[in-house]
Order: sequence, then C-alpha cells, then structure tokens
Amino acid sequence: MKIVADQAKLSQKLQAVGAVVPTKTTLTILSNVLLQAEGDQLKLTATDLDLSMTTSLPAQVEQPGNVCVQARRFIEIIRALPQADVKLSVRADTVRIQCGKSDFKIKGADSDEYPKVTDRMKEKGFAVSAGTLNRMIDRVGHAVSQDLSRVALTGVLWEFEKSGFSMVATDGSRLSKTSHPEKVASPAAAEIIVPGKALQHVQRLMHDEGDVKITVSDSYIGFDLGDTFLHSRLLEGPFPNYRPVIPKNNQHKMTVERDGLTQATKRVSILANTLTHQIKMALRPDSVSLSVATPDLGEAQEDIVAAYNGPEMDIGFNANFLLDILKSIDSDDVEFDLDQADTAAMIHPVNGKEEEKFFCLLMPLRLAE
Amino acid sequence: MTPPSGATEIRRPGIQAGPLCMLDRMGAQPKKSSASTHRSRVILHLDMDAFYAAIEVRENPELAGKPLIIGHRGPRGVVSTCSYEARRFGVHSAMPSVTAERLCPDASWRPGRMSLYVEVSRRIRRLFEAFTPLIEPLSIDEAFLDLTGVTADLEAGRRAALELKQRIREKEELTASVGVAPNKFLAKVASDLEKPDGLVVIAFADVPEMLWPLPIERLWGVGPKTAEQLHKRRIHKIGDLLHVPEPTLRGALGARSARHLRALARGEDDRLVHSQRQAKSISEERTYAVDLTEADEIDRALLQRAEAVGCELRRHGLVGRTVQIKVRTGDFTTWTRSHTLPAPTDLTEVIVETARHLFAERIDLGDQGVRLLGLGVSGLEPVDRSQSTLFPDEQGERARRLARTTDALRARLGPDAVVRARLLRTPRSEEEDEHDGDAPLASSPPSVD
Repeated sequence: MKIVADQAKLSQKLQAVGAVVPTKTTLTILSNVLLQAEGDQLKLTATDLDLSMTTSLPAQVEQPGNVCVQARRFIEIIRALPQADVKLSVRADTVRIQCGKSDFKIKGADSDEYPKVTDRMKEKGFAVSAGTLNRMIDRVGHAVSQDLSRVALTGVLWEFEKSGFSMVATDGSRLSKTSHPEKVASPAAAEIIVPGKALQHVQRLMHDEGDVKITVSDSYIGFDLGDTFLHSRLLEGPFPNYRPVIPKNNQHKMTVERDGLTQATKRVSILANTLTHQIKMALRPDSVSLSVATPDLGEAQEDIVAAYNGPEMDIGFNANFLLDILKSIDSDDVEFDLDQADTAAMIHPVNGKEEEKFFCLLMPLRLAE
Repeated sequence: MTPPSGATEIRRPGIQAGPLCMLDRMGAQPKKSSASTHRSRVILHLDMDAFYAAIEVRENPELAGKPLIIGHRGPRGVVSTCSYEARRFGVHSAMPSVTAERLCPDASWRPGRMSLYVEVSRRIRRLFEAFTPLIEPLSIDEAFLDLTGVTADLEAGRRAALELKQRIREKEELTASVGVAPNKFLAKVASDLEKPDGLVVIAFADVPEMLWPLPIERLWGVGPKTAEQLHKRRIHKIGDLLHVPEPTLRGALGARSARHLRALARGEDDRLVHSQRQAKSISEERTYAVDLTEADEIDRALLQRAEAVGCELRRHGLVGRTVQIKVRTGDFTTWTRSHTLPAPTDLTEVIVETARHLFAERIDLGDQGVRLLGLGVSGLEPVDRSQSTLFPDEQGERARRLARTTDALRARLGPDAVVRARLLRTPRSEEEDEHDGDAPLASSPPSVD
C-alpha cells in the first residue's frame, strides 16, 4: 500500500473512527484501525464487534492495499503532523508515515486478522432528515440509562407505527418520548432498541443538512451518513412496558418560562446535596419557589415567575435531571402537569408543533421531613 | 446558615472550611501556642494494652501474670498478639508460632475470639462518646479523641484521660495507655512512652526534652529504608534532624520527606481528628484451622462472609460497587479477585452471587484446600433511596425488606437470632477458627484506609 492524503482530512476522519476503538479489549486486533486503499479513496474502519464505523476520504492511491495499525499511536502521530500531504507506505509489517520533514515507522498488523465489518446493508432502508434525527436524539438522549445491569435501558426504543415513528428512553427515574410525524418505510420489526452509544456517535458524525439513511435488519441497524457508515448491534429486550406509567390525570398545571427556570435551578442547586441533587419546588396558588437546604452546607431559595392552578404542594426533584429535561425542550415556555408530590410529573413544551409530540416524565424525590 | 463561629464550636468532620484549617495550622505551631488568640488543641491517643491477651486474661483469671500468646499453635500458625509477660521473652505479633514456642515454651496459648474482641472494642468506643463526639478509631484497640473545646487545656485533658482510663478499668477490667498532646503525632508518641497503663502529656514546651532524645524510628514515615539513610548521616535521634543542614536532609530523603520529618521533629502536625472517616471498604476474612476442601463447605463459608459484610453495609447505611474475594490455599498461594457491579448494592444475595461467580470462574484451587477466605465490598457510597422509580424493582424491594427485618431482629436478639438455613450446621473446621495475625478483620468494623 502506498498513498498520499491530506493531513487535516486524515486526522479528522481518524479521530472519528478512533472513538469506536475499544480501550479495553481481550482481542488485541480491535485496538487497531483498518486502512484500505483502493481507487481514489482511503477507507478507515474500527469496531468493538458491537459497533462498527467505516469512513472514507479522498487519497492518491499509488499502490492499493490493506493494513492494520495500532489506533492510539497512529492517531496521535497524524494529529501532531504539520498540515501538508501525508504519505503512507507499507513494507512487510512496517507502516511508514512521512510528512514534511517528519518520518515515522510503526509496526502494522495483518489486515486479514481484522474482523469482517459490514459497510452496506441489503435491507430496504428509510431516510430521515438530519435535523429531525438530531432533535429526536437530543430529546430522549438524556434519559438513557448508564446502568449496564438493565441493558435494554441503555438503549432507545424505536417504535414504528402507521402515524410515524417514536423514540422512548428511560432510566427508571425519568422517561422521554418523542414522535416523528412522517411515515417511514418501517422495517420488519415493529419496535427495536438502538444502543444509546450508537446514537451518540450518529449525532457527532451527522452533517447539519441532508438525510440520514437508516437500515434495520433482524439484529442490526445501519446509519448511512454519506461518507461514513455506522453499523450497530441492536439491544435485546424487553424494554419496560412504559405506557401504563404515563399519567393520564395530572390536572395541576404549572407553566413557567424555560430559561428563567433553568437559570434559577442552576443557581439554587449549587448548594444541593452532591449525592441526591435535591431541590424543592414549593407550589402555591400565587407563587412558586425553588429551594435547597443541605445540612453542613447551606440554604438557598429563589422565587420564580410561574402560573399554577393547583393546590399547595411541595415536590422534590433531582436538579440535574430537571436541567437535562429543560435543555431538551426548545419552546420558550414549559408546562409541568402534576398530580401528587410522590407521583410522576409530566413535563412538556408549550406551543410546540402539535404533530411533533414530545414529553418527559420525572419521578420526584421524596422530601425529607 | 450561619458560618461556624465561636471558640466552643466543635469541628464537624468533612468540613474543611478555610478559616478553621488556618486556625488549626497556626495552633500547631509551637511558637504560637502560647498566644491567647490561637486556640491550642487537646488531642488524646488511646491504645489498649495487649488488647486480645488482656481480654483472655480477664475471661480466664488463672492466666494472670503468666505469658499468654493469642494465635494458633502449630507448624503454620502465627502469633496474633501476646501478653506483656510473653513479650519479655521476645515474642511479638506476626511471629511464626514455632519461633514463639521456642522463645517461650511455658506460654499458654489461646486461639483468639475475634467476635468477643470486637464487642469489647465497641463498648469501649461508647465510653469515649461520653467525652467527645470527635473520635477517630485507628483500629480495634486504638483511637484518637479530640477534646479541644471540651477541656480547657492539656492539664484538663490529662484529668479527662485519667477519668477515661478509670472508666475502662471499672467497666471492662482492662488497662489503656493514653497520650495527651496538642496534636495527633505527639499524642501517639506520648501514649507509647509508658506502656502499659501509661498516661503521658507532651506539651509543645516538652518537645526538646521528651521528643528529641527518641530514636528517629519513632517518627511516622520513617521505615527501615529511611532509617538506614538517616543513620548513614549520623542522624539517630529525632533531635538530630533539626541540627543537620536542610540540604543534607533533602539530599537523603527528597524535599517533601525532609520537610515532613523536620516538621514532625519540631512537634508540628496539623492533621485533624476525623470522627467519621469515610470507609472505603468493608471486609471480613477468616483463616480455617483445617483447610476447606468440600465445595459445599466453601460455598457456605462464602455465604457467611457475604452475610456479615452485607449486614455491616446496611448497618452503616452504605452500598458498594465492587465485590472482592481473597482466597489463600493450603500452600499459601493467595488469590484476590474482584468484580465491579453495574449498580451499588448492600444485599447479601447480590454479594454472594458475585462472590460465587468469582470463585468458580476466576480461581483455580488445583488440588489445594482453602486455608483463608475473605470477602470485601468497596467503592462505597451512602445509600440513597429518595429517588422513586417509574418501574419498581419488585424482587430487589422484597429482598431489601427481608434484610431490614432480619437486621433488626439480630440487633435486638443477637447475631444468631436469625440464621440462614444453609448456615445452620457449623462445619467442624470452623469450631476452632484462628485469626490471621497480620489481618485482624474477622467481623471487624469497617476497615478504613
């Protein structure tokens, strides 16, 4: 293999695939990136066996070929090089990197040892605009669980229905659901669970405009992002049956300006307990205030401008969860639909586009008496 | 909240407020200790005298005045501790039992009863609580007490120490050695000066007379290696450290250690007494008189350890993320294996399942039996159940309710009030379990470090 590529372009693409390279692995070959030179393209591949990424960049290919290189060092070298043409050449098991006056030789590995990675899927896919996909992931991403003991919750449930498709994520304490109004060519399965990690990668790699082509097979999902293809194993269910927990009768409504509530929550929560992040929301017919009182630390209180139609209620929330939710909403005002201080609050945008349904559920914290 | 103020304010653990730290640091300077604007601290270090041996003597009065060794006699036993009478023969803890038998052939031997020692230790700790809430236990038989603000000065501290020793003697028929000083370092040095049954006060003014003549090995942080480096430069006594030029010391020890040792030699130590040191792990281990070989025996031993650790976690309101097991086989190969759980737990069931998995998958006994079995949980954090959940975990909730109930029964009626059916029959090999000298942890309070 012998090629010349632009340093900036190569570095950028390498860092993208580098994010998939597992940091700890029993299979050493996975700590490599696979380089494949053919035609006028250099293709880069990384995988942790569950999630794979392939991306291409233009290159002058003098001699086609494939090689594996240890990802971390290789990425570090390319990033440190001056912005100029980078020449990569392989002789025996050595990869030589030349750029300007720099000259590196590092050990490569046989590309045949690298696992086979899919970069196209045969199933019929559907397209979603990048903007829509990005917004949907933003809305549910914060509720994805990090708890690996309930694997299904580390993913986002995608439901395909006649009226469009929805994404749902929950970590047990909060839940977000958003629906996309366009009907998409739904895959065989009515619902799938897509790893949250894969969606994070998609968001990072996505261009602002254009469509993302999505293909779903029995146990995989593929995202075609133009020059990059992301292929991820789907998570095994079952996803918890969330429909029964969506409150139907939360009649006490509080409407508040989103930015004002965000800023007040940030201020007051500075003194919140670092473990529980508890803040108290005191709802009164004529006023709403946020407060914390943490033993050994201090107290804070702030009144907020809000309209509330229910009875007096003190309700506790995890300030970080609340801030995540407020950040995921893009309307100027938000509405809290409440029932009791120990039942789920439903939080949703006000004057959002009616057809784009979106809400979050947040379980309160039990307030210490 | 108003900031802590006033001379009688007791420092709460965990708050490292700037002004208070400053105050302590200045209070520890000898030259400033006399200035009335700075409060001088009153720190007690209490060390029980030959703790295990003294308890055995109390329980068996015929042993009084005779050399007594706690530990397992036999070719592979070690001395856990011994009475002062045995120490005169040169016996000391962690010594192989065969050596001890040679040095002191007439000594009486007792295998050691850890649960009794722990119980006595807890009762003594309660006696401390009558004096101050600021107690920092260092081990089962040693603790720091901060009497600053409770007593006016070192002399009042001495009277309190006398009173404390008196109470321990009355209630437990045991003696303790106490050091009283303006900081932890001097208090610890002082408690060691007149063992057993000692009471020594070291004020800053006494430092030249009492501290400087002591060998440098008495300083915290001076081990055999450092001592050798210092001896080479003719530094033998603590006072010598202040007479050699600073660069010489820096050359021998490095700048950090040199600064640290010189401060100690001046009698300076600004560390606070931390009453609730955050436990980092809770563990329990046991050495068996006869190696465990049966799978069933080993499994029940794992369950016993898990039950004890789980109970201790719940008692302290903690949950932990990492389960570790330690296995020493008959040929003294020691294995430690750990697994980090996705979510922290305090449930015996989860702990024992993890331990079983570690034992089955990650340890290869070969043809050896299990001599020592330990189990610990680390990555501790306070339990927080204030966040309610959308999808209740019913199984976990049931297990938690059951654990709460059994823990309450055990607290009221004793540790054997509720026993798992699997643990009802005590295997023969555990009846005379012996405790490992270098790791006194069996049913220990949370090990802190």
